[in-house]
Amino acid sequence: MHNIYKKYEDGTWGNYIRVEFPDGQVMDENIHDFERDGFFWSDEPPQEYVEWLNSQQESL
Amino acid sequence: MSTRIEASGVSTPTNVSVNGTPVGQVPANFPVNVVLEDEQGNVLQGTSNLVGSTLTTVIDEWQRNPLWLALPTVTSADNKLVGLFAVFENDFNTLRVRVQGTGLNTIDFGDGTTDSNTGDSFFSHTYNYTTVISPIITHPNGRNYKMVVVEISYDDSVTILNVSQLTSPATGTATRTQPWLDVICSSTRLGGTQLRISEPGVTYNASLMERLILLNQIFISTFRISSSLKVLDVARDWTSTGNAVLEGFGDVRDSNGQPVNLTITGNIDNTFARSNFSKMGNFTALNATSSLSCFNTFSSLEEIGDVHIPLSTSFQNLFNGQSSLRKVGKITISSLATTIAASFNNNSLLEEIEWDGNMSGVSNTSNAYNNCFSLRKLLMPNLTIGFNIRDTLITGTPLQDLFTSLGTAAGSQTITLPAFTVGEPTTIATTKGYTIAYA
Repeated sequence: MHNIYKKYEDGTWGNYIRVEFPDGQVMDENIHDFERDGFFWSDEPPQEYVEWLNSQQESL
Repeated sequence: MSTRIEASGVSTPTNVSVNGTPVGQVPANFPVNVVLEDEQGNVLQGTSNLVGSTLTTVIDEWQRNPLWLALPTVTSADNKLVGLFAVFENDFNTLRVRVQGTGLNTIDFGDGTTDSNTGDSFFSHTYNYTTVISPIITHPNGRNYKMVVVEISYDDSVTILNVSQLTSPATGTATRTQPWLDVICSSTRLGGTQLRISEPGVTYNASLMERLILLNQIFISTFRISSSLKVLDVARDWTSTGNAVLEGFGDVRDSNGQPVNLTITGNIDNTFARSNFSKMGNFTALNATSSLSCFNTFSSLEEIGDVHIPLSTSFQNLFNGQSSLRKVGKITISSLATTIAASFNNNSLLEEIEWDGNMSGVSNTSNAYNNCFSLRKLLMPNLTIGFNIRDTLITGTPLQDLFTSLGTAAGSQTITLPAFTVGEPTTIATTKGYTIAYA
């Protein structure tokens, strides 16, 4: 399950299974009740992410 | 020619024959690497197919047309051009030559006609197809031609030797293919002698030429639409002043059957547009400040040696879409470079990428390694920004080597790794300030 999302400054999105921060903090399926550096957990894909993903597929 | 079969692993051995001659055993249904060598140990380019127990090899070796007239010997000590020139049936067949020097220049047009002049010399001659004595050959395009052997002698004062002067009597302009088939040219002028055969910006080209041997100080500025070229020997740098200097090139090798090393002194944007190289040696462009799309739309490329473009600020799209590319040497990069965006996008067969130099100036890595599904090794020395290798196979020691090659992250930077690498050590990267994300 890829439930970690991040929207980058250039408008693109990332979708991740796990994130490890430089100080050792981890965001994954067990620990995700926080946001950091734009990374956040969402049980359902954010609408804006879905729209971006669809736009990417349409451009292929 | 000899064939050496390298194989590892053992299952059920199979006796293998090469073109009917038994050569040994390899495991059945097991991938084998076939290396073809000549008697001197030079690796030959070719293809091999194992069907059942028979290994068939085909060497990519150019065969000079046996009906072609022989060319006189030219050595690197000469100041001479010899060339096989096609005289076509029902054509105007006028050859014009300009030799820009200060000494005596002579020309033998190959049909009994000679001429000479001193200084900046213009020569012109119209061939009569019916009186030229030569075998008649039918070109694959269906047209008949005879041949003459043209010899041009000059001294070491010549700066430019222009043999691209086949002009239309109707328009007076060069509008068509130059019918050179096979050319050997040498100059001892230390500053170099430029040979002009075909150039961009005009419609004439050298699409019939199959072999070009450049000796000593002869160089070419541009060589356009040489789609038939099979053999190319290059003695010194190419000096280009524009882009697409090797546009429409054929799949050439040198006289020993090896990939050709190319050194270009000018710009290289779109240099190899529509070319058909499958293997290229080392590529050097010392003065190019951009390599934008240099190898883009060049999908036949399978192997290339070291790529040395030290002053380039942009590597964007460098090898974008090279779907056949399997091997690349080291790629020189300096702190002047600002982008490698999409540089290896959609290189699904490539296994190793080694940037060599200092990538601290790079600020854009977007899509650099998208769909690099075979990539197992990547080094990016001193890079300070994030990147995405989600689609690659980089794991284990190569992953740690990649982390080691990086510089300290410039602020908040993310490295996106394949999900299957979760659990592998990331301390080298996180200590440098990178956030690690798995996708």
